[in-house]
Amino acid sequence: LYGNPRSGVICRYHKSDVFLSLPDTDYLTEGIMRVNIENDADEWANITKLVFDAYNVHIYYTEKRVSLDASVKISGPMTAETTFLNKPVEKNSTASIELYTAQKIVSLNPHFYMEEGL
Amino acid sequence: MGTTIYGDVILKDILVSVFILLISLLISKLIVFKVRRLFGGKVGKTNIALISKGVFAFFIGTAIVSILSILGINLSGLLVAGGVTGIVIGFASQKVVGNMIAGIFLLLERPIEIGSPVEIDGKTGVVEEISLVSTKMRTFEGLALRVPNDKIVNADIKNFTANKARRFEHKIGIRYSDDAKKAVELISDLLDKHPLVLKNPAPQVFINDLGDSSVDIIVRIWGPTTEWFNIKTETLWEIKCLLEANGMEIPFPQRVMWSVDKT
Repeated sequence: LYGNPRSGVICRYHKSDVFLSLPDTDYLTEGIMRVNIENDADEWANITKLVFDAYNVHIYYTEKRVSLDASVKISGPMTAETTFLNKPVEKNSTASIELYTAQKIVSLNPHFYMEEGL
Repeated sequence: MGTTIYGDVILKDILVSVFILLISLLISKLIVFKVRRLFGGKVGKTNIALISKGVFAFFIGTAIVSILSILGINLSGLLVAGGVTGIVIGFASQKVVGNMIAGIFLLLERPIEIGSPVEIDGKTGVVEEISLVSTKMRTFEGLALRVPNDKIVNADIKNFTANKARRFEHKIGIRYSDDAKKAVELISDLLDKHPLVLKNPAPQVFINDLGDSSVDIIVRIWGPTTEWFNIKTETLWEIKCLLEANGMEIPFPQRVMWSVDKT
């Protein structure tokens, strides 16, 4: 649960290691997510978790790796805005098929606002 | 068509009034149908019910006001003449009016919504309809229950699904001869692997009591409100099987008898 029981968001939890270069992964079970973090606040920020909206995920793949690109803009010590980017991490990647439900209006770049701490 | 029915009202006026009423009914039904189709699934059922009733009341109210003037009924005259009658009716219908006002508060404050499983005054069930005077519920046994709105407004309401997550607890007793620390570790690992047990807030597993018959372990689990019952039943069974597979037993209540050797 991200936030409080009343107004929080139930999220899928995944604990991940952090790398400064492209890691090797088990292609069939793991992908990599490149996160570009920008701190717009006036002070240092300590990030222990990131929450992303699972809608509008743009997955790319090559023969060896599955990847996503994302960005995080920190606006304060407890707040940030996350979004997925529609571009590949590696060159010559193929975009995966994207599915949208008929009732949803396709938004170009939906964000998730983390307001309950980083 | 020119036949006089009473006073200045002719047959044509009656027919026009009926026509206006029918058209208003038809238009309001159509609009309610469109509203349900347009907003169904996107807007809560309570809001849709509110909008539908509001639209229906608006059209029928407008039609009635138009019809009354066509039929030559003077509304201002009615109001004056109805003053005393109103007082009498007011006294007689205190409870009904109280329920209606309570209904308005319910619709504004929204402590319960259509579809919410709730407990009101010790009665549990799912809310099926919230009208101005009463709220209709269906108990978990499938019985129909009607609760006057003034009772709901003044009662303690427990809404089981108002929040996104909820916590529940198991109390597990093991024998004194069993390794309680190992039991706690096994249960913690089990919960860690369960896909629906929330990581945050983290589950709590600890020895709570050294009871008369057992060492009591408390297991507190947070889960999504929509899944909590499944998680509760699954985890309880899995914990039992896990402990038994590791040689631990959940003991029956027991007493140790000591006898004094007088020799």
